[in-house]
Amino acid sequence: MAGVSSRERWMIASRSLAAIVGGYALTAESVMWLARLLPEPRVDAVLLASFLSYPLYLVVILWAFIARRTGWVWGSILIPVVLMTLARLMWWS
Amino acid sequence: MKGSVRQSMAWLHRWVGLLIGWVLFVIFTLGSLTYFKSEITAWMQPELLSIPRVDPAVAAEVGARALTQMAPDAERWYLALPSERSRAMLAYWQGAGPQGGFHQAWIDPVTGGPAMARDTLGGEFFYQMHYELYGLPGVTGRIIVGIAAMAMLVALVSGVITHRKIFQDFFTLRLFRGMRSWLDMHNVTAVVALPFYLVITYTGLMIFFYLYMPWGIMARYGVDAGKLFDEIQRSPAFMARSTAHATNHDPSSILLLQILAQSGRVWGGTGELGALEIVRPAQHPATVIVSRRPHIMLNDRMGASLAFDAASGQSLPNPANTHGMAYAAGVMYGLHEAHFASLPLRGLLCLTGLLGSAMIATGLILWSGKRLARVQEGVRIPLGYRLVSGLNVTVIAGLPLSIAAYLCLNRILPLDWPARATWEVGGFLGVWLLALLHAFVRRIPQGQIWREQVLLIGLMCAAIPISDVLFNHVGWQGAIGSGVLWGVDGVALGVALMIAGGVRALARRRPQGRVNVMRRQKQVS
Repeated sequence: MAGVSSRERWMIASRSLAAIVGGYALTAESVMWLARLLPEPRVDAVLLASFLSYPLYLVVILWAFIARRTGWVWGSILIPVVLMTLARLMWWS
Repeated sequence: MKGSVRQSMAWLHRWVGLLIGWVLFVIFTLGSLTYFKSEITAWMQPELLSIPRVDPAVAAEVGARALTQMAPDAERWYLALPSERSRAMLAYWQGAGPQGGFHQAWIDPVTGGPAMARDTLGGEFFYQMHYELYGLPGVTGRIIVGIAAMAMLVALVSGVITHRKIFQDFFTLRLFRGMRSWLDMHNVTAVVALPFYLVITYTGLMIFFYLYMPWGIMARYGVDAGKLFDEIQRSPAFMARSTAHATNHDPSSILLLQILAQSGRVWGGTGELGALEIVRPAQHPATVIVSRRPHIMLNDRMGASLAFDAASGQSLPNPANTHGMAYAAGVMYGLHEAHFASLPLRGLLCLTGLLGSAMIATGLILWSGKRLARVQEGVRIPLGYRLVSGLNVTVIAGLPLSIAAYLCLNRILPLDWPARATWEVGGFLGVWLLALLHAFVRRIPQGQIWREQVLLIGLMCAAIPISDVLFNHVGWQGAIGSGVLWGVDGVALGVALMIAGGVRALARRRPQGRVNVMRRQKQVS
């Protein structure tokens, strides 16, 4: 796009990274938790968690470009990822 | 982002669409053709069209005898029985032991020998291009397709949010008004089949969830991931039974006749039999699983099937896992692959998929057209614009051209040509490369490049029925009664005529437009 300042360029790169990589990490962690927590037999729990993963990833990606401030995007993705990862490492391995 | 939600979604829609549009166009177009995979393969192997129709139960016996000779110590046999879509039957088998490799062969259901046909990938090539970009190493292609599908979901939802008057605009189509017309076409093709696009994209992602989103499997199965697929497919009661201790026995002692007849009685005729699977045919206890043909079941993989003990012919527990999500996973496959659908319904699904291709194409054209409108006259055209508009022609016009060339080559190449199937694929890729060169090297206006390539598509489509008549190689006996030859030739001819009509209408429209202007001027004066 013509007329995009370098500040905006960095913001777009940062949000894209948060959306694609951060969003995937958030989705992956949520799927692991859901697959464990759902009370179904394990095959059903894994399938249901995987079914829900794509809509979740989609919402996170859209959110990364809707939120007013780039800092909020990163915070709202990284904090749950870190919390879920830590809790998982503490209790499950 | 600055601006409203709608503005940021419009920005996202534009850029995601541009980055992934070309790959998506290929996936949508070839996926649509894959609804007719068996028919395209049948057209490309006319030798097999003269095989008479054989009752599936008779074919099952012939196939089992052939497999006894080819793979007596296999871990499992699988026979896709003849149907109205395929006269020959496809046999798969897994070599000895649970880790044995998979093999496949086409079997003539009359002779039991290999079904002899020309070397070609047939419709399988479009299919493999559709889901794993044929030729890329390992899972690379599947991952690219997965990224494209996820981007498609993003583009669909952000597009809907962007679109203010989605219902009103559905009834708006302004033709021959430049960019406004492309936008209207983009909107109409998007809205008319939006649920189809969402479902087909989502189910496509679900089919490869074990590759794209394996984290749930890792959390619950760990290194035992292979067990997941057994558990999805097979009911717990059935699995508990099939792990019993085994001794050797002769595969020809399997009570196949009785089992096939009994399955036929359950489903109202042996014509309903669709597939036969025999687990550990050379061991006791061996298990026979008979599946009904898929025409009534949305659930593709575990609809109606019956299991029997091979030695006694006794019924076993329902082999399919019909529990909750496992059943839903089968429905996902069914929705995506539409094996349940009759020929007319598959025709409609194919057209809907091609409507998706049109939506992607009009979106890509809009992107470059809007930017061209901003470039002032006399200024050098920016590199980005040239790249996008060149790739637009290469993909949107070049792909149909290569598809038509692939079908023509199947008829023109001599039957004993070495590595024939590879040459057909090579021809497909070669023609596509030529389309790319044509789009970038020719120094003529963009519209002229489009017209030339579209005209070539028309000519190449017309060449399909012509080359079929001239180089059929096998004569028309037996084949003439089959709808496959008429169908493919007819569709190709139809496309050629439509393009001819379109080119004529465009050629007539332009001078007429000028006449109208002159008339109006006269009236004014």
